[in-house]
Amino acid sequence: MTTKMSSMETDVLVVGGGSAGIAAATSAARNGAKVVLVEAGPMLGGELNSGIPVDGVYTARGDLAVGGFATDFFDACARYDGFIGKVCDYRALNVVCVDPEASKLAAIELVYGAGVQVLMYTFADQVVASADGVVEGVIVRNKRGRTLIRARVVIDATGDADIAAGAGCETMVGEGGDPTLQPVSLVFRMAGVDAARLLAFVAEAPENVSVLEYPGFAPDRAAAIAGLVAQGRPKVFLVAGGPLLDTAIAEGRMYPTSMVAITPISEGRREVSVNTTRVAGVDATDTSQLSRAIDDLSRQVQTCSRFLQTSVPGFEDAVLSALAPRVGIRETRRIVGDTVLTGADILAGRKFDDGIAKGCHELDIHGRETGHRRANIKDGGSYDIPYGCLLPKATKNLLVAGRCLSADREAHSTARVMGSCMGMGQAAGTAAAMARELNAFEDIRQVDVGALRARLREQGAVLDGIA
Amino acid sequence: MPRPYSTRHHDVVVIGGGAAGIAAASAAARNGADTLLIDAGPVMGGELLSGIPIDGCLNTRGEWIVGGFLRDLIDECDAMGGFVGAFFDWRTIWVVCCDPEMMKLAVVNQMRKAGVKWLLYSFVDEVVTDGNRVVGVVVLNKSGRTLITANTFIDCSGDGDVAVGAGAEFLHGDGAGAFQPVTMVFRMAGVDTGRLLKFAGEEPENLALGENPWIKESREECVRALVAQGYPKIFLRAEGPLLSKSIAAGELYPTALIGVTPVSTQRREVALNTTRVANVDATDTAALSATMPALIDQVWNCQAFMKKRVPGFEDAVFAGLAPRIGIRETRRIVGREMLRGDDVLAGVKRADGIAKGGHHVDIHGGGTDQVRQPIADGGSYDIPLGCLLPKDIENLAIAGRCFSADRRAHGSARVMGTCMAMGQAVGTAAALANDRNAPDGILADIPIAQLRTRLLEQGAILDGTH
Repeated sequence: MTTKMSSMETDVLVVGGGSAGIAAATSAARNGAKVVLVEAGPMLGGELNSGIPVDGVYTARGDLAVGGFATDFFDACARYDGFIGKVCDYRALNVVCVDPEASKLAAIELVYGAGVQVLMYTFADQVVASADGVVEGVIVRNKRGRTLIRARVVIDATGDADIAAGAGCETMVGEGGDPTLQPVSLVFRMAGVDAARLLAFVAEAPENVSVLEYPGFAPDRAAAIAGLVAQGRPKVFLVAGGPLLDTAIAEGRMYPTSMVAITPISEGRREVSVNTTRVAGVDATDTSQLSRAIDDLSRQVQTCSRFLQTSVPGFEDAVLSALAPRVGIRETRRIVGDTVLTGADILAGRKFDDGIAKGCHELDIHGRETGHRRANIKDGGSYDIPYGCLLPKATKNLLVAGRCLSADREAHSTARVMGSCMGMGQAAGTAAAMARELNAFEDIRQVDVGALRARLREQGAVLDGIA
Repeated sequence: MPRPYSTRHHDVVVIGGGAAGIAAASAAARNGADTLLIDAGPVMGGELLSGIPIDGCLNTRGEWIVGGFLRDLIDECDAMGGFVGAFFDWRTIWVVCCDPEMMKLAVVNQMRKAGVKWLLYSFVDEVVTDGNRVVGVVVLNKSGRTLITANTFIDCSGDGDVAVGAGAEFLHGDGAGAFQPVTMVFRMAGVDTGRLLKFAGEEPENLALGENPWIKESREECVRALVAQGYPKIFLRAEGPLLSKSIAAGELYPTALIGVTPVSTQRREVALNTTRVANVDATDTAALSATMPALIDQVWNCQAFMKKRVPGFEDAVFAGLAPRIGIRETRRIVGREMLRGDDVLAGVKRADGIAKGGHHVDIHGGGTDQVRQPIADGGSYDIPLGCLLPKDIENLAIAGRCFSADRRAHGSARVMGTCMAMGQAVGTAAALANDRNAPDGILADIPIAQLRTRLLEQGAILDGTH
């Protein structure tokens, strides 16, 4: 029997509903395009719903590096009582803290509110591409069957470059022939935390806490600790190498990890997120491996929540309050684009004439167990992400946004964070919408980068004017 | 060049990791079968993670009617501090309240202990049949396509996806486009139970109470007992002045109820079951996806209403959304037997029963509409294996809300306690069907007495309980 496939047509198809995808879809729709957003899971927002803070929005110096959609998103979180805002870790970062439950509402409001047609629970199955690099569409699969979604422009916000890989584009994994990937994590939350006690402990035993990896925060360690305590937020980075964590690991009360990163997510619930669990050696595009990871990760959650309750002041009466909706993935495939952002570029804070988004997170490569490579962006500033990093080579109407951008492993380790992903998403979505305005659209590269940059600035993006 | 399919084989493959699926997989694995559990999402547990209580575990009399896997899961939750308790709503049912976040961990722990293998993020794309057998399912995920063969398959997809794919006959909603509403459950923390119950005691006209003829107590006695129970377990009803006025004034969307249940004593947190968009066919993915903005508008509307109008919620805060939209009703597979609403309401017992139900017939409609009919005598009814075996497919079982029932019977048996009982029954049956010299995975010829004996040995409740 021949089976029937339905079809639909749209200006812009966005695949993936994480931070990059929701920014891309919303921006494309706001700029006049008809947009379909396909997401495999039951919710929009991706890692914004995990509880980890939004990194890469403010530079270490404190300048806003991503505006536009990100600002709208934070405003929406605030409307749902879920916005704490900019918090300094006095280590290397200014992060933005949101309530990962409010973020679900914010993502839905913004995406649907922009008029995007959303298909959740829908898996991108196959890419239909011509030999000359045109992605004609994507065949998706859900409970209703298979649908060919044809689009003038396709944006790959899958995180894993699934569409680019499906279209036959060249991709990279790891570095220098070593396919090792950063570990996967399961973020969890604890409620009823006494922030004042936690900070008093930080003041008494500062050797357990990493501060001042970026030297601009304070003249010395003591001043950084004082600043962290005075800030009054439970934003604490317990670090391997400190006696508390090292002893617990040595005694088997904790699994080996480089950090226990504590971040405020709700004042009303006195709740924090904890980013610490890790399983290395998982290729998250291998579904069997990824599926198994939740076993060890869920054990680590139980271990660490007990460790916090028994060993970290401020957590005596705290309770485990939630697990992230899914295992968090730092690194998989990256595309090879027209431009490849490099570690040298990001560390130097390099600016590009065709920059369409900014990154400012530190170089941040988590390793196995206690391994972790971190380095600052020059002067605590920002670097530009050029348009060419979103354009897979030898394709005409495909853009990527998010952690599958074209970058080497070092550059990826900073641009992978959600602030940068939202910046890239807004740029990709806006470029895709602007392609509609061309007389004879053949290649997304026809979109004038100067005009794209102007449009992005008009719509709140930060592209220049900061270190 | 297209990627080749990979292949794998297991004795038993369970599709769908909700309440029915985890029970089925655990039972199959514990009884010796090499068992794979497949789910389309990133975690296991389905609606157990939503925050709504587990209905159907006890009858109205307060007698446990589901044991076995359900009790193991509750014990696992309890050991982590995630079991709040079993409570009577003094309306018509007992509910079991757990912390849905601890439940995520408890489910993983239980699957690990049972020796279940699991494959997440995986969509069942095709069903491969040979005559009246299911040979395999083709699963789609980021690794490509895998042909997974097995001796026995168990469809716990909620929607009967595998059975329908294998050509099984099915019924759909009321047959004329009506489906029970979909719901987004949400949670609020920092609730003052004392104040809430004081309000319940002072203004009981707002509560749904004493709806079951087995409850002999007067409304006043019900209120006193509910307050004495000491937990935030109340049903605000549409007919009460608080809701009816607020709905009429446009301050609250039309809804039959606001069901409040405790999920965490330490966090003083409750789940609220109230939002609704009716008559959506949840197997229509575009239609299901399109309900999201209306549901979250209702969520935000309701949490503001609770804070403003319901004592005990003055200082409460929004604490979370269920991981996904909750679905009450889609397809029902036509099995070798069909459970009837009359049998459910009469509490009919069967010598060949392999699971028990006890939830009232509970059919939500649009707006304030809801059918609620109690089981006779506050008791329970039996579900025979034939309701879990699709007609004419010999090695496929179904468990959960897609089992074979008319719409009224489904309105009772769709709840998680009953789903777990069904899951344990078919998982055990599947293991027995594979525990033979030449395992053919055929389920219909399993001696029911042997299955019942095994289920009873493993804690299932099959006899008595009114």
